[in-house]
Amino acid sequence: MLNPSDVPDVDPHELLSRFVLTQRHINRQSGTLKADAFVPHPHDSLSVTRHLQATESEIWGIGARVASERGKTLYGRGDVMAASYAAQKLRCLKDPVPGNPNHVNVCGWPLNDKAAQKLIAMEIAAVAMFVARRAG
Amino acid sequence: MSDAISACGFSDEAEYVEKTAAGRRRALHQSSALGMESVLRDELAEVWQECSKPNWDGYGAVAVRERTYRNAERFLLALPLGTRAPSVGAEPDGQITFEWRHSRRRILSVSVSPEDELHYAALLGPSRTCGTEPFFGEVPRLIRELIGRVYDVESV
Repeated sequence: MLNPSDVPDVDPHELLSRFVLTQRHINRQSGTLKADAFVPHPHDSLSVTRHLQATESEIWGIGARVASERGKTLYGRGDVMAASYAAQKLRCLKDPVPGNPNHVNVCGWPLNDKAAQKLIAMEIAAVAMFVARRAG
Repeated sequence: MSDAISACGFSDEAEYVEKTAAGRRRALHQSSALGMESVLRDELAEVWQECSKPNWDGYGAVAVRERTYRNAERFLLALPLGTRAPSVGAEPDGQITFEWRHSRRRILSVSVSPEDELHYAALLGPSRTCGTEPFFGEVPRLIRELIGRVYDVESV
């Protein structure tokens, strides 16, 4: 994990994970993530976790803790390159928080334009790699 | 001019006609080969049950309201018979979504709001589109066309 006192800016080639805490965000027919998983509204930013200097186990550990704190089940994560967010004119800003120095906010979503947000979320979902949580 | 003209009158007679028509549509949709009854009964009911509480997604999502659920039910029943069944979901702002997906870049998502609006976004190969249409009981022609284009791969 990153050193909380020395967190670099997000590089376009970094992988960012959106943790999936509801089955409603997974298309049962195709096993892929829906755009629903990447829609920030009613918030103005999307919460994700960067893989930089983190092991696979540490990434899953953060996801498990996020789920536990919210009383939810961790179903998996959607991995997207920071450059893919940038391609949609979004900004990936480092936002270390207690317990997760790798936390990032994806900002710059069009405000008050539901359809435009949906379209951007759909573009992100189209390139996202859904990694299902394995039991055990 | 949009062909999503309101089919809702306000007289007792108009209400009777609408209820009778809705009942007939539902009866037709009960055919698993033709209609959305199974989608209604299963997926939509599950979404309503799971997402009618605040923070259902773990990220502070707004609860899905009953009005939204009823609008989603009306939308499903208003789809032409034979329309492919969508995948049902919900968004953090409490709107119910219907997703038709043929491949990663042939997708349509329609959000049903409690305010009688449909917000849609679609990826159709290299093309993409989004917008908002009113919903007064009939599925707007644009939405019906987009559903067809998702699966019309020869038109790429």
